[in-house]
Amino acid sequence: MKQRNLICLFLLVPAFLFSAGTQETGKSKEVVLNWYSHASSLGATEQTIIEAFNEQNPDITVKVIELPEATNDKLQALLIALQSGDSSIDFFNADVTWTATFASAGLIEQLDSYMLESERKEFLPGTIEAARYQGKLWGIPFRTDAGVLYYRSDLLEKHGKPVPKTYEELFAIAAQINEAEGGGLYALVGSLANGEGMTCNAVEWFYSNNGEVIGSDGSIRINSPQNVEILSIMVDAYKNRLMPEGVLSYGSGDARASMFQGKQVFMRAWPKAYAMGQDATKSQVAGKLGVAPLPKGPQGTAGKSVVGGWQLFLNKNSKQKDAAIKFMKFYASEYAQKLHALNDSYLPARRSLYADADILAKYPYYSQFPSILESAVARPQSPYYAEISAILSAEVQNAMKQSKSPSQALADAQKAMMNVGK
Amino acid sequence: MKVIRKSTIFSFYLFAVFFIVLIGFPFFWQLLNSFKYERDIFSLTWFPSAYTLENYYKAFTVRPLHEYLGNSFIIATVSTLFALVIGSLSSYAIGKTPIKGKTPILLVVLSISLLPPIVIINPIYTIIRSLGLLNSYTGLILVNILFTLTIVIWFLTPYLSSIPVEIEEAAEIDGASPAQCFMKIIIPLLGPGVFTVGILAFIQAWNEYLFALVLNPITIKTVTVGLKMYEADNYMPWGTIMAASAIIVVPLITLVLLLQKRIIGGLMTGGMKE
Amino acid sequence: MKTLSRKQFGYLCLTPTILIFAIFGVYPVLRTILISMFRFRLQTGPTKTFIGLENYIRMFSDTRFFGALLFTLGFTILTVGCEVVLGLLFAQMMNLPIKGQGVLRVVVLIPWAIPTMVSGFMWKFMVHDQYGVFNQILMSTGLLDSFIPWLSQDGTARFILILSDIWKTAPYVSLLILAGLQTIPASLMEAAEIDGANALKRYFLITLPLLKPVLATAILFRIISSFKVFTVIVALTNGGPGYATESLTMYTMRTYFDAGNYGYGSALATFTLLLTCVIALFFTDVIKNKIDAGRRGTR
Repeated sequence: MKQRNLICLFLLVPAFLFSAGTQETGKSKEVVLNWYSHASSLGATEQTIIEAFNEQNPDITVKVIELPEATNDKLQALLIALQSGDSSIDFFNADVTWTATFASAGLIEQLDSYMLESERKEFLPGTIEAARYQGKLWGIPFRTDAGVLYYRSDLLEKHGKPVPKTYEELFAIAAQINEAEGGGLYALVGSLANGEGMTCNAVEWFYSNNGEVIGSDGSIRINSPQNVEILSIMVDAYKNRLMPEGVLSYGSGDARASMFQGKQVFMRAWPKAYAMGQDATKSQVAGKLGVAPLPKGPQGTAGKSVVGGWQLFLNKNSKQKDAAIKFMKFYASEYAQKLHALNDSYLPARRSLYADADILAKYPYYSQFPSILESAVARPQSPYYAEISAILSAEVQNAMKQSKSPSQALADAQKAMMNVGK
Repeated sequence: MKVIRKSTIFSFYLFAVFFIVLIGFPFFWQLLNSFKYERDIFSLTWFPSAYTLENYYKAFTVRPLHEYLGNSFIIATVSTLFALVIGSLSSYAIGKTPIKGKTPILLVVLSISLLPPIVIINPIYTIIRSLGLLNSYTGLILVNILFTLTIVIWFLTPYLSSIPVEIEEAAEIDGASPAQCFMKIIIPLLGPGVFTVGILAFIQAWNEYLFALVLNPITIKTVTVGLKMYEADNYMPWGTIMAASAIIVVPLITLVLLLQKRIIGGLMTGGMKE
Repeated sequence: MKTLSRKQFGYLCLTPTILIFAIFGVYPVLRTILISMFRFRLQTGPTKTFIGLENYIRMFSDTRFFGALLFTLGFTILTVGCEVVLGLLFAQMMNLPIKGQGVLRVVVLIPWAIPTMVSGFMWKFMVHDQYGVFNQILMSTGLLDSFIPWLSQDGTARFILILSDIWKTAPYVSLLILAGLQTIPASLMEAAEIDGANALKRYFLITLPLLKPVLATAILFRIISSFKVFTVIVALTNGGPGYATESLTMYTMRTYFDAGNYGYGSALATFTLLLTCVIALFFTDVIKNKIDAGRRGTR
């Protein structure tokens, strides 16, 4: 029996050595690009774009390889892979907050020479800014994002309520509607699970009350009276069951589910939720959704959204940079971004599309976005962003689940953030 | 023969039923829900009027489950085979040859089996990375061999001691070299033991997560890492996940049921880590 | 082919193992300990700065570290404790010469054989707030009037983690103990019974002491195993809510791969190693027995 095994082994050894390491790619004349992208939920539009690209560039094949879903998992996977000097990744989707991390680690290619000033002007300034680090351009933006308020237009209309401009109004209106509807409705929901979702929501709360996280001079400002105030408001809302009891482990999918199953009056989510909410096979509130800017806190001047978005980074070790850039630019072109906007309610990173007739016909509320995006808040660009975000998220959660008082939580966050990178 | 009281028999069967329900319910629930439409899963209907196979179809299309299964199978099989070969040689060396330093060696083997993987994860990641073996079969196989070797050695070394010294001594008198003794005499006798410990090693390699996550995060994912990929945008497609889990679990359970005598025997004598 | 002496052949056979252990076992451990004394992280590139024990000093003022440590210790004590108690109970039951006992032994194997990820997801699904069967059953039997968001609260999240780990492993522990029970000669028990010892006395004065070696081995391996808990947490709570269920291994992983802080991560890992050694020191008998068993009957 052992001899047989030995023979099998001797056959297997060359077999797996052959497949070890990077994968074999297409024929020698044809260029195959490996694109590490979002997962299959966006498959259809991506495929259409790839096919359109192939019509103009038949000698380039684009292979989509899926990254894990959660943003943090994507980051982990990409860092692990890129640090190996792996040349099999050509380009990949990157969150707006990753520029400093990848650039400072020397893992991506600088794009200044590939994107001229004239091209950059076509994009929203915030998106180009997020793709910069230490004065150089590192990514090509294809999508921007800003947190918005979703509301049940049918319920607000039925009870003659306006769209709330402050959180005070929001909770009051929701309470009145809930009572009038006989109970069972939560006021607000967001993706408050520990992670980037919680960070985004919290940053929005703080800035909507005129608070800050990191000042323009780089100092840590998270422990402020304004922040404590707005955090206390949210903690009370959670305590009084104005948010679903399980919200602290809700990802964006769970938050959307609560809204789409008709259990919410309001929801905070990214714009892409709109298209999903209109799908009658998945949502019970199709046709009943409205979108508005986020409300402000008692001391706030205006509701503030957090800028999100995605861009394409080029692997420094890619062997097919020119071909990759061709596709990357195509994916960020007006054609591609418009398609994503129409199909998936993405927010384009290009200015012109916000005045596009087709887009506005389908999503009239898009006209509000230029002003929302103008005043939107960027998360801190720092090589240590992952740690800072983790601290923020955990401490805010500590306050929400009442294991710490809001002031204690923010004081601890202040201390921990000041220690980062030391 | 001791007579057993009726009350004991009764409590035994009561216990047995309770035990089987406790252990079996999660599996039952997983299997049941894998056949339900999503709306029935969400509305908590235990036995809906309509059942579907769509979750099983989705299990392979939403994510390439067949790839994950294939990867896990290759990695687990190859690491087990190597561990068995290398491990048998080592057990023989420890058990049947007069080498010096047996205690330190056994101590090292024990230490590795007690070692928390987190202690070595980063250097191993660096080593595998510099060998260019990230996202490959070889990298993960090498690491799995490290841990399954300990299981094999621990199991086979005492097992070998049950083979009487005389058999080899007789062969030596006839002029056989140690290598010949090993090949012609020991290996055939090792058969059952190797098979048993091979099963244990295979199961251990199959279920491994930590190194699979770190070394193969993008391609050549194993089933344990791949299962987490079904999570779409922080939303879990439970029907699909349950179907995928069922697909992963049913072969394992079948294997266990078929080979139960060996596995139980192996665990009870070896009694090593999980 | 040159004929080797038995001794030489033995060394030759051992070589692959020694190589693998050296490269993938011993070297990484030493390297981790070494790096723990440097400042070395992703953001500062390949430079390593020697800082002595500074990482360790930092550990002692790191609340997140203490949280992870306390949680891991609590998890270990509770899971191992329950598994041993339940294991003893189950093993006793499985030792009865009643028909159908074989079925139990097989059932016992199944939770052990499946990947932790799978069992984790099974549990996650069962305790879901909105469509988990747990909440459904509890509410329909009137024990609860509103559902519990099991994984969104510190206490209940930890409870579920411990519960799912016990579910997966107590059966396996019972199998180990059963092996021990079967080495106890029936004649011993009969003699005690004749001497007038009742069942309880027999159990505590004979059975348990004789089970001591088996129990000690099982406990040692289970403690080490629970101490490195990671996979089941990833499946169920990912360390949340907040950091309530973040284990030492998880915190170290995040320090390494999310924050890219290799120096500090190595210090955390080294600490884990030290703690493991300390635990092992309490079980030197077990270790000695295992090594002796390995050497028994060797030439």
